[in-house]
Amino acid sequence: MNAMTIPVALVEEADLNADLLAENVRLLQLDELKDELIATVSHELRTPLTSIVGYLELLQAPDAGPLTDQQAQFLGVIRRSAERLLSLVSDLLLMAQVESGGMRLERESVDVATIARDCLAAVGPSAASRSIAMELMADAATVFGDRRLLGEVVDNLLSNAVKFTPEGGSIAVRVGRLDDRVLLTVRDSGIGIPADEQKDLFARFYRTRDAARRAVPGSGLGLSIVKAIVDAHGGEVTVESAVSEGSTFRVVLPANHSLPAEERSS
Amino acid sequence: MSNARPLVLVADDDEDILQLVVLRLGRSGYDVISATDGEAAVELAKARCPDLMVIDVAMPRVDGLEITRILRARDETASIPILLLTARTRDVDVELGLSAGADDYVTKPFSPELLAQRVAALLQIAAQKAQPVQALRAVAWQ
Repeated sequence: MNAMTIPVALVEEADLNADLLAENVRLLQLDELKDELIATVSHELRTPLTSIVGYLELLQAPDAGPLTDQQAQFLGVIRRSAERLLSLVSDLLLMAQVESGGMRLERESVDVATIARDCLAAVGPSAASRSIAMELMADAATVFGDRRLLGEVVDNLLSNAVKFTPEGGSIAVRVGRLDDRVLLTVRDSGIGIPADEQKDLFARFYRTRDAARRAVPGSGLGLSIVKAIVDAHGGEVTVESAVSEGSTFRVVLPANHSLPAEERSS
Repeated sequence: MSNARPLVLVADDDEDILQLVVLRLGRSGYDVISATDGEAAVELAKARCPDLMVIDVAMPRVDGLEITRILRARDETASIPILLLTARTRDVDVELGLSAGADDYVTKPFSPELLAQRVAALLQIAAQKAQPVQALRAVAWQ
């Protein structure tokens, strides 16, 4: 081989490497852009929401002075809307975190029964206002997981159940151990999900035809977040449902003791 | 501190949020002073030695973490309880804030009521810590 000529294959390989390098740089830049966007959204949306929710609280405080019934009602509307916006912002942020492959779990020993009890208490008033009966049967069931995120899972499943269950219906929550797994089920007597829509249910921004038609408020992010969190915990979420009969969401998580010790302590 | 109204310094560059915190803490019966940037907050803290500070992390020039570090490094201000306000949750912000020496943090958006409760708790802890020292001083003076 003449020292002055470079084989074509080598030139092509060098070009290919350069292309890959450039592509890599571009992807990294995109990633940075996304991180920046998340940080901006986080700050720019949360700051005005802090003012809205905070001043509302001052206006609604007992020592704020008398309000007419109508003023109190208007403030209630603002509050509910602000809370919806807030939960959308936190859902988007969580989703963005998942997308960037960075759902960081702050793991500790967590009793899923306790989480279920707290979440049930939180949705209690909205269920009661529509005469929906709530029932909880929970045995202590510890997992090694992120308390806040697992709360998010139960919150999402419960608020969906309340949202899609007609007045006078019922919701039953069960928590228990099954061998080396923890089982959580949320069963409702709601409107149900058609079989052909069940496979898409956990996709981002997916909304059932019925939810869209009835204009039930929601972003379509809740169940995708549930799935992402459950996946991150090494678990599984599934649904069984029949139209007009109701839906059962089932979450299976590895029980605390079933994890190898080194993984638990990390 | 036990017979006077606790003095609380609030720093946030967002004047709406600053006023919100000042109003709420005022309702709790504290004397509240405020600053809209980090430098002013540090100067005010040096001059008045408040019983507690509520500081926004994200402020221009001198941010909340830097304020915390500066105050922790000076004897006169080292033990002032500091509560950080942060717009980010489970983020480096929180870890950095606590490692910089902050005592607690509240994430935005926050409930003013909750913030007031945290402030009250921190003041109570600080008062408990201060008591034995005061008792010792009292003994030493006799």
